[in-house]
Amino acid sequence: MRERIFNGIGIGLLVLCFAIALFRVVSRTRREADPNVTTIRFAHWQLESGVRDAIEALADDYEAQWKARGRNVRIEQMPIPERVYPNWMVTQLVGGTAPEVIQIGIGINDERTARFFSPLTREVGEPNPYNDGTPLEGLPWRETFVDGLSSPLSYNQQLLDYFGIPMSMHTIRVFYNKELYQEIAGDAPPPQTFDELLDLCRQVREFGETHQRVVIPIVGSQYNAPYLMGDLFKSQTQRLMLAIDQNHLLRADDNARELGYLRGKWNLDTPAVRSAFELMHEIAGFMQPGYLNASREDATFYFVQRRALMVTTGSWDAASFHSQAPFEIGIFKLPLPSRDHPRFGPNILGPFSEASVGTGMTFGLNRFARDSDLALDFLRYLGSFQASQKFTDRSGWLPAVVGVEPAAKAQPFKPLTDGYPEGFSYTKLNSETARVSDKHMYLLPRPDGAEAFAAAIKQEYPRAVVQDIWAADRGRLRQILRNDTTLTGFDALMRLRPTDTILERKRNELREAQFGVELGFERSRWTLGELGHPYQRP
Amino acid sequence: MARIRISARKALHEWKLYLFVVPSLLMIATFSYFPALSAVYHSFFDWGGGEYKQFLGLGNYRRLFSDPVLWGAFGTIGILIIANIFKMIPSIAIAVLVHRLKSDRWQYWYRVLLVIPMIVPGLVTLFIWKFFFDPTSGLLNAFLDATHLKSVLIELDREVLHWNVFAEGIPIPWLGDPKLIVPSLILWGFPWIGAVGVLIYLAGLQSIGTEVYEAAEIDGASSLDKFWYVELPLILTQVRINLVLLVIGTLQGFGLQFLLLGNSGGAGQAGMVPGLWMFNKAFIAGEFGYACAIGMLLFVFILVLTYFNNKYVRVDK
Repeated sequence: MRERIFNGIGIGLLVLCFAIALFRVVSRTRREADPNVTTIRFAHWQLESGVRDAIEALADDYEAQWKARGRNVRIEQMPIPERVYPNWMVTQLVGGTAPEVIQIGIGINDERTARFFSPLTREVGEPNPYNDGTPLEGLPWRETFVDGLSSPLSYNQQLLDYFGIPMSMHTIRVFYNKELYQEIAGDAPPPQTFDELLDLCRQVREFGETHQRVVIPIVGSQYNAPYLMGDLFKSQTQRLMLAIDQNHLLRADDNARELGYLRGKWNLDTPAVRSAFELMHEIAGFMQPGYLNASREDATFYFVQRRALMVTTGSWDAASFHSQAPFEIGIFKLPLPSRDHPRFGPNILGPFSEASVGTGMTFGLNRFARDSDLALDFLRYLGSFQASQKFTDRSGWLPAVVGVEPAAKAQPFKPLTDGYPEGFSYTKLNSETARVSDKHMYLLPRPDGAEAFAAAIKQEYPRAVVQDIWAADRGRLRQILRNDTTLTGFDALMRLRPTDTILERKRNELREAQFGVELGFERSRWTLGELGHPYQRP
Repeated sequence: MARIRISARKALHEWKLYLFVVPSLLMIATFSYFPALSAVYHSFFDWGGGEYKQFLGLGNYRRLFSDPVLWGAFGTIGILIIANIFKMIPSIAIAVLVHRLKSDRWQYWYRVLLVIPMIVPGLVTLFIWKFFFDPTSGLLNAFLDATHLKSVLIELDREVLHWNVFAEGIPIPWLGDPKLIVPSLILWGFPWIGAVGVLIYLAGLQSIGTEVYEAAEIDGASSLDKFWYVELPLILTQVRINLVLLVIGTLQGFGLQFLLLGNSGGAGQAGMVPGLWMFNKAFIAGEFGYACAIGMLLFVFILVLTYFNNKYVRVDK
């Protein structure tokens, strides 16, 4: 009898769970299947605090506007964790079940962009109707964004089309625990110079020893440390960057860095690079042991648990910190060594300008969307003055639209545009050099960290640079093959429609782009051959 | 069992019955064989995961044999396989101890206690262990400090190991130093009592009749003798199956290393294993064709090991 009762309970639980699950699935799909409701699905990976609420508010506004026009529209937000987003997105796109509006950036390449996303070139050249009645009325939609949609996620230079509409922009700052800071440093203002930052870190160490507490001066992780280390490295390579910038772009693009290395314009013994390693070593010593193995969540945990005074991350984490931390948070820009610093100053031009900070949180339109007109309309709404103001007010993130005033909590993150171009980024040029750098980064915090790190990567680095250039060349070759197919198609279409000027313009643009890619490929191959590293297929 | 010959005519007479098997065959073909054959096909191409690819012939395979990271990864996996073989011992020991309990009730409760942790998803266990290994706030370092075992490790490092990884006042970076990564991977899962393994061995032990034990006692066998001469030989079939699954799982697997160390295999790439390198090449470097070639190499390794296991690791019935 008892056994029957227990068995009955077990079966009953199973049936109950199944019924609940079935109800939830049916009720959800019933909404989608309702012919009187048009659903636009909207996927992104921004799970940071405040963003989903802000998007939900925008969605509600949009739905209300359409309801007033007599049409039932439903916006379904689909937040997907960043770690699985690329795989999820590709699976959805290939399977034909992708949402109508998709955040692009991770897991995307030219091939996927061309295949699955609608170009928006024509649309961004026209005014956005949602900007009527605002200072941006009548302006081409492209001109209403702070970067003119010039960021790689918005404008694809290989495909020569606009594919993405951004919603935000971000800058990197140092966040600190104000209460803990008060305990350690009293009323002293946050560090304004690099030496003051180092002094503060030493004070934190002494505080921890004196009070028998674990307090990490700057918490690091696989995610956070590169922002800090990247800026430190770039500060030392400012002058070097100008020397290798053959195209006078005020930045060292991938080819310039890598080919400059092979041409001997810089190497791991160049004084500026060694100085950069020394600078990185100084800071690495103040991070927790084994920081390279810590994840973003670990670093957040340390910070909000008052085990760390400072953490370096982007403005996207501000709202999450504010919501999780039981203390007041202060923010300051990372103070890099100045030009007159006795040790690190000779390599420096001056503080970085953040004028070239591009936009982010970019969304594309699924080419195979059921209601592409409405999806495009929603994208227009998201990229409008009104929506951007609402978004920044609710989320605390910086806006991507010109003229929108950032919310009070976003003010510390406003880009500081006065300054000089950055040096070239960190030793990670592409996947092989990144692997070699990551492999030996654990050496940096050691007493002889800079020397040990340089010596360790020296053996593998030259080969890694060459392999990265070969990998880039293979990518260019694939691009050439793709473009050849498309150009053949264009030529065939031109024969059928010889007076189609739009078609002709696109064909000519693609042909020009093809020349550019072929030129880059041939130049790279020729240079590699000249330097004794002839292009090799795997 | 004697083989029964059926004429082709008779077999084909009931052809409709074979249609019942077709759906399963189609599913296996689509979800098992097709991906494998696709991997074989793409291993001969320079393929970035999209539609365009370039035929390389044996280029990817030639590259395999001069890839120092891959062969280093095989070295690491060799150490882990040997360690995992030793890590089978606690499961066998626990199964024997539980089996020898005189009380059926206590046997039941021990089985329940072994099964309950299986409810916790493996991923959660991995994250908990990652927390254990945390240098600053992890349980392992706290335990070593509280029990003064850290000073033993410091002495051992100074006199024997000469690794310079254990020092007074500095938290031990278990997953942050190349020399400690492999020991940490071996230590993971302590005390290495896998519930599934214990239950499998227990099932084998329970099939041993009491008369065998009585005969052993009459012959004057001690507890250890009973284990060596009665219990272990009679559960060798299960041990062998577990060994094969363990070797295959260790060779193929990389989830543990990926979660604990990240996609680069940790400091100095000390935790890089072939499966993780394959993942790295596919999803980080975008070299899907080369990753398929690594997969093919792994397949050959596992096939060869399984062949030798079937041929030489026999259990006399």
